[in-house]
Amino acid sequence: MAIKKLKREPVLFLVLAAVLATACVFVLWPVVKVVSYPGAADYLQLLTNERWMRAGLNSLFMTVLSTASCTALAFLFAYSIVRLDIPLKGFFRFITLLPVVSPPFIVALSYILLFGRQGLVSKHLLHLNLDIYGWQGLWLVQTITFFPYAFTVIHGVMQAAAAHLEHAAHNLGASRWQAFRHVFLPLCRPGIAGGALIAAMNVLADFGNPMIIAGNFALLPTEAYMQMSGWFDLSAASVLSTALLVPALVLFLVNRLWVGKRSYVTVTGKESSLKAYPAPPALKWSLFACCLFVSLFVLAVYGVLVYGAFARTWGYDWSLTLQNMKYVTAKGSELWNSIRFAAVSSLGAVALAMLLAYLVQRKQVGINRLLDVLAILPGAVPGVFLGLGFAMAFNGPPFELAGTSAIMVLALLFWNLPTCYSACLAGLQQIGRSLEEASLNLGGGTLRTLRSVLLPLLRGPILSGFTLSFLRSVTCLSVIIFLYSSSTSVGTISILSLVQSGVWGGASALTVTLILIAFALLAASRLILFAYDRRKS
Amino acid sequence: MNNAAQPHIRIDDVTKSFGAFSALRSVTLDVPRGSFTTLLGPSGCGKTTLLRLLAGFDEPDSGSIRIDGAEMNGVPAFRRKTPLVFQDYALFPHMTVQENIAYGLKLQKARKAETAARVGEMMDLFGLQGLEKRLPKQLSGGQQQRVAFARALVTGRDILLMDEPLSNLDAKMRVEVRRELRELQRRAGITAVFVTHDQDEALSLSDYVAVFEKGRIRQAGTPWEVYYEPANAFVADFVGTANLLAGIVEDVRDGVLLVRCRDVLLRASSAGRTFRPGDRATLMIRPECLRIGADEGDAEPENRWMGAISGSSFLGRQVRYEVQCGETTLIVDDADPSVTGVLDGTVRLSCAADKIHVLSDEADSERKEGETHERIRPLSERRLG
Ligand SMILES: Nc1ncnc2c1ncn2[C@@H]1O[C@H](COP(=O)(O)OP(=O)(O)OP(=O)(O)O)[C@@H](O)[C@H]1O
Ligand SMILES: [Mg+2]
Repeated sequence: MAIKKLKREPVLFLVLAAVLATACVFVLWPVVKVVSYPGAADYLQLLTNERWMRAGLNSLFMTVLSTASCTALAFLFAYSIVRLDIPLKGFFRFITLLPVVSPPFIVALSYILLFGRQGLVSKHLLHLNLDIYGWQGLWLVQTITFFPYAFTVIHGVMQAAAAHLEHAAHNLGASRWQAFRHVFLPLCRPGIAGGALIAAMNVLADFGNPMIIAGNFALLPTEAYMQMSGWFDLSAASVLSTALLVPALVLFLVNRLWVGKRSYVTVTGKESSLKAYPAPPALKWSLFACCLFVSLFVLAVYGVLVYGAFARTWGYDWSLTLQNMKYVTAKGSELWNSIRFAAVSSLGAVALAMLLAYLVQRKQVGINRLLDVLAILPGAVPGVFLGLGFAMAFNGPPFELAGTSAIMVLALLFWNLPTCYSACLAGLQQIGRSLEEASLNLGGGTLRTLRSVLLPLLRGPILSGFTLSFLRSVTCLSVIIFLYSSSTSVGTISILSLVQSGVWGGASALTVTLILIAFALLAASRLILFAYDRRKS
Repeated sequence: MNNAAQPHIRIDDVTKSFGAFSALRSVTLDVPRGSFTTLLGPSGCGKTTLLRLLAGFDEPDSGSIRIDGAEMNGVPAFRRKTPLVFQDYALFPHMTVQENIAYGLKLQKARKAETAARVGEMMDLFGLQGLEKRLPKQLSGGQQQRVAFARALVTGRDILLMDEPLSNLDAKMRVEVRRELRELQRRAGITAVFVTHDQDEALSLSDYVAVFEKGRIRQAGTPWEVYYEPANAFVADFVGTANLLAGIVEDVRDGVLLVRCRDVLLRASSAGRTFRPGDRATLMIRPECLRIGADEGDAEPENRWMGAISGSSFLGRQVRYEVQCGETTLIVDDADPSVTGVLDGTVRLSCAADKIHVLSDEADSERKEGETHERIRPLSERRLG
């Protein structure tokens, strides 16, 4: 059946073959390369090498700890926003968006600026000399950085949990606490689990924050990087990365297979206008205070960064200056690389994701399931692993890409593929098949249908996929840390090296500039598109 | 406290607004103990709002609600003992049928054995055996509805609130469930407050019906009263089909009114109210109270019209005619069409005087007309009028 169809549509067949080959080369091959590089003896070292053992245990410890705090904080925010009648809800929503669109190490950097040896709070206000490097600082930083990811999931599920079920519980005699425990919490459980898993995946794969803040507290990603950059020990890096990949895959699979299916999202009609039973004022205002405190902290994170960019010498001379901008001009080519690679890779990711989503959703080609897995697999692979995989897989014939711009772009492209793919797939699922059939029915071929019917309708998902992947690429550190060369270095790498040499002002200035450029470009492209739309209509 | 003379639920001058919108305006209603009382009204008239106030999900802006004589204002929902069957059932999706039903008992910390016995009883009563371990989403609409009833009744409260619980059932099942419901309520001696917008349902189930319009009770009474003796045009129209004829009282004698409606003179019983010649009156005749015939012999001696049939529809158990009598169109039901067949052409209509009802809320309906006029008429003219 599928074969016959392919014969009828040779173009489809060619496209399919090309897509499959691409996916295998750039998704499977790097993974296989890393996993198969070390021998059994190397893997056994994982149990004997005390340093590695510790890195593994530390990663596990941080994942559990930070995931728990991320989930708790996310729950608190979601509950306050969905269920409480409090002011500043818009502000709180905004706060939960900020960290998602920022470089992954921005909180760590600010944390140093605030509480480090030269910190604004620690030194200037409290006159303390703190040692902030270690797991406690990392815990705080990861909590702030990753709770928004959990928030998105929990918030979605909580919104769908209609208040009238709690009213039903009250009606049968349940107190507020009982209704919360017996009805609300169980209904949110799939969301909490999903949010926790997303947070856990991010914490586990986190590279930027530990790099800056963990000090001697070794984790799997940072240890893998150390082995590679310090000792050029490929086999050790591979072992450690694989040790990282396994739990990441498990988390990913659990999320896809288990959480996805256990949602109680109920179809509610008339009763959904029921407001939740008001919480006791004491509870309400203490939750509000918590949200406010966290939000102000997040604001402080960004504020101090801006201040850092314009302060003369952080920790000694707080007067304002533009001198830090010299780092920005000095790193002009790196910034340009950041933008260039991000734009090209995001375009590529969107195009490939679109194609994959279309094939999976609309064409019965017999290997839909396989294509689907290939498209989302990079989402399960920690950035460090992916980077290492690309470095090893395309380091010699037939793919001699080491040190080129191409390898940077390709790595970012496939790293972002799942994000864009999910957006496109969701978009396609919402568009009725009949529209397309109507076009086919009127004699438009597959390609033409794709261009004239689907693409215009998919503008939204495509645009949001592109935006997200652009921001992720500009702020990415983990994937490219193994891949850059002196000519293809990017902004985040420069920032990291400035941080590591204690040039806080320069690091802040560069970070602020990078974020600003990224947002300015996005705003400009949106404006142009908007104007274009206006002219057309 | 269980004073039989005292109404079980007393709603006194209750008002509720959502922002600028008045959902309930000065609602007053007594619900007698052990009665089946229905709140009837079109969509959006505030029935659910009132039920929520009774259950304590919301507080009235003003006025009071008493249950068993005890003031309920400020008493939270979970202390009210007013189980409610929700419009969409609101079954807990994460609990099995058994857990759903047992939930109220669990909250009361009932002993295990007792819980099991009571739940089993309810399962039997509602024919849910074998579904104990299912989740709500694995049930049909009718089964969900029965679980909702069982969950509300299991705690053995003497009040049951129901918000259009039958609206998700098909027509045939609805009729069946109605009967069972009524029987159950009588047997258990429960005071039931039932919300519906279906007049058939309201009439067939209830001891008392309160007809709502835009947040106001327009009439409260027995089904007989709201059907045959509606207080105003709205009730007459909402509770069944009504022919409404506006006229002027010409004469009054021995409790019989002589009313001129356009070109016919009609006799109607004054039903104990006083009218003077010259008063305005609106008469209401139910379609089935009019008799229709092709020949003269069959007609009543009084209250006759001659008219031409302008439309007819055969409904099985009856034929509904539209008859054009001069400038008025009358709707007439012939309850036994098999006798005469479907009529056509010119017919004679008649109606006994005691089957013509004079609306009592005349002043009220006039005021209503006045209101709509006031908005249109300029101020100067209004002062003259
Ligand atoms: N929470 C609310 N906020 C604002 N308006 C509301 C709210 N709840 C109800 N209303 C309004 O109050 C009016 C009465 O609503 P209610 O739900 O009581 O109607 P109903 O008689 O039950 O109608 P239906 O038969 O459609 O269920 C409606 O016009 C509705 O829009
Ligand atoms: Mg309602």
